Amino acid sequence: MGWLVFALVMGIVLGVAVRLPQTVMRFLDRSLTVSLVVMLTALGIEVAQNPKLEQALSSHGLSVATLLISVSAVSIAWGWLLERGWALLWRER
Amino acid sequence: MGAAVAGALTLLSFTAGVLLARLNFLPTLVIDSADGIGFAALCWMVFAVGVIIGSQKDVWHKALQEGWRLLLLPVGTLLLSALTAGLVGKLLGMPVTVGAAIGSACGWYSLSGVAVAKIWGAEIGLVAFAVNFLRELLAFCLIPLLAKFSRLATIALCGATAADTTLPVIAKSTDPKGALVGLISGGLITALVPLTIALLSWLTK
Repeated sequence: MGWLVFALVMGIVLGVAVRLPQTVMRFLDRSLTVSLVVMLTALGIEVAQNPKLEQALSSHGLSVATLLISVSAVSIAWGWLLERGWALLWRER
Repeated sequence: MGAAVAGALTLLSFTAGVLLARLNFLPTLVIDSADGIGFAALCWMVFAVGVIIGSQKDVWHKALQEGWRLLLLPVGTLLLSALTAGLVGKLLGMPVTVGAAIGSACGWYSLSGVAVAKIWGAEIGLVAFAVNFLRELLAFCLIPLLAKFSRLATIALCGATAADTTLPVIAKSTDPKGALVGLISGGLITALVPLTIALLSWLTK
């Protein structure tokens, strides 16, 4: 967690302090996609090595699926209500 | 990149990782260092998002202008996740506090798996781990599609992970303001999750 906070703070400080050229910004934007693929592939490798998930799904599949779907659906509905109903954060001023 | 392509890419990358490891296509060195490689990629992504957010000066002003209303998203997400999981857990035969603890982790699977196992036992810890891990995975797959309809719904689904693992995907699928709101929301949820689990553990006793 410490390294993540450090990377984020360094990025924000650099972004605030230095006006980077468009080519660098475009490179950063594209590097997000490549890094995401690397990170998710690594996550897949880790999951394949870890028996925890398979164990939970085989013994408590129904509970896991029900809890996952309900919690995700309510969170999505809450965010949607905030944005659409109250037009809170993205309204034009 | 289209939303459907981005969602498919996310799912494909993860599946490729699982298959490569299962079918023994990768050298042991790569498998052993997958954790480090993934973390290095995540650090780079978080750094890049930091630069993108930092370079958009007006975004800070616009987001912070919302004041206390900015708190509604993370606090509501945490409370509703806990409440829903508590009620659904009760229907599944769990005590309300246990279900609420599983839901209140909001995708933070490493903490919830360990904390819930320590308080309520290994079996429930496994469920907490699986629910929250799959919530993160679901978020990765749905962010690009969901962001087309509602940016706040995207951030709410990500829960605690909006401050770290899913932040780069939020940044890519929404805009710098979406990334900043995600960072604030995820950061606040991350701070509140251990307190909520501790409170629920205290209520159980």
